[in-house]
Amino acid sequence: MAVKGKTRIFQQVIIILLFSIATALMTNALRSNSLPLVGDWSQGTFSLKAEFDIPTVPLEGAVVKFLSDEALFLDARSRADYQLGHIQGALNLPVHEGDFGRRLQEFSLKVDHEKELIVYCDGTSCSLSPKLASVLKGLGYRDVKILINGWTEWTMAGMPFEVGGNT
Amino acid sequence: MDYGGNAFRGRGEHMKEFLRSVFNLCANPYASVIFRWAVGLIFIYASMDKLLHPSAFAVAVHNYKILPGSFINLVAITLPLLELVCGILLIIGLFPRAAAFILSILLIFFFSALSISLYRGIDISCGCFSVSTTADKIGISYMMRDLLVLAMSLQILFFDGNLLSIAALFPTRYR
Repeated sequence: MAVKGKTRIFQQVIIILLFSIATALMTNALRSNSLPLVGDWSQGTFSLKAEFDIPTVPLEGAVVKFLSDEALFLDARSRADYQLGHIQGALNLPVHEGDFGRRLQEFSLKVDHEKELIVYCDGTSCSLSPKLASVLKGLGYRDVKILINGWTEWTMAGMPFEVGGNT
Repeated sequence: MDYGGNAFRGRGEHMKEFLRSVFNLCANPYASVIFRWAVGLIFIYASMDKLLHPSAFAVAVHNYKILPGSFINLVAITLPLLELVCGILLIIGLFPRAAAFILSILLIFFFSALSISLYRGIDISCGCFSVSTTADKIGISYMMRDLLVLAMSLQILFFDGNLLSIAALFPTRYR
């Protein structure tokens, strides 16, 4: 194809790309809602290993956060489990369901990166909450913790829960 | 006696003339100016919502299930800024053909991503102009729109004549 000044355009393309990438990385490093350079997008594959190390929160800590209304609780279990009962005020982000992508996109538009998040599922070896927590870390959420065996612990302690609800 | 060329011209000649006039129409330098503004504004507008909500855009990119996971965040960080920079360059007319080249490549990528997703039949939002999930469900019309912008972008790449542009201030070898 006859494009006049091919080499010059090629050089300019390189200049534009370098400039844009450098500026993008710089602004990303400085802004408050920045993204980590590499996220955790392995859910949907068979990998159960979470990419990011997530701290846990003991039940007492979670209760304090719940009573002071400082943290947002996230239920990583399936929609059916969520509707059978969940921590009062918790949002449902079912890692293994088909519309997880859409829900996650809506969630990331609504919830600020500074918000404290406590993720739970059920059972001491449940992999859903580490998975979800890791995905959220990879999206730039700074304060994500896991409440291990969350649903059982919560109900055993007699803390308030809700049934049904719009997931 | 000479009867004049026209009476004996063959079909090929007419075709050639027709193609030449189409070429001249495409090569019109004023069209380039209009297209530069149009494509520039489209991409500046398209970059805004993504720049404001990088994580929602990252999820939108992920939902296409085309890119490998380790590239998604990098694309979500750099792509909106690249769109913005190319848009501004087109409007002020600095390196307009290089910017049009980059945007053409992007538009071809977008077209492929849209067609792959429509073929797979996955129900996702486009993430073209807005990162919200309620608007912008992908469809054939988005592919048509992509091709229209691609056509304008290619016109700039091949025929831009530096009319009304900053590049005109520089010596030819820097344009």
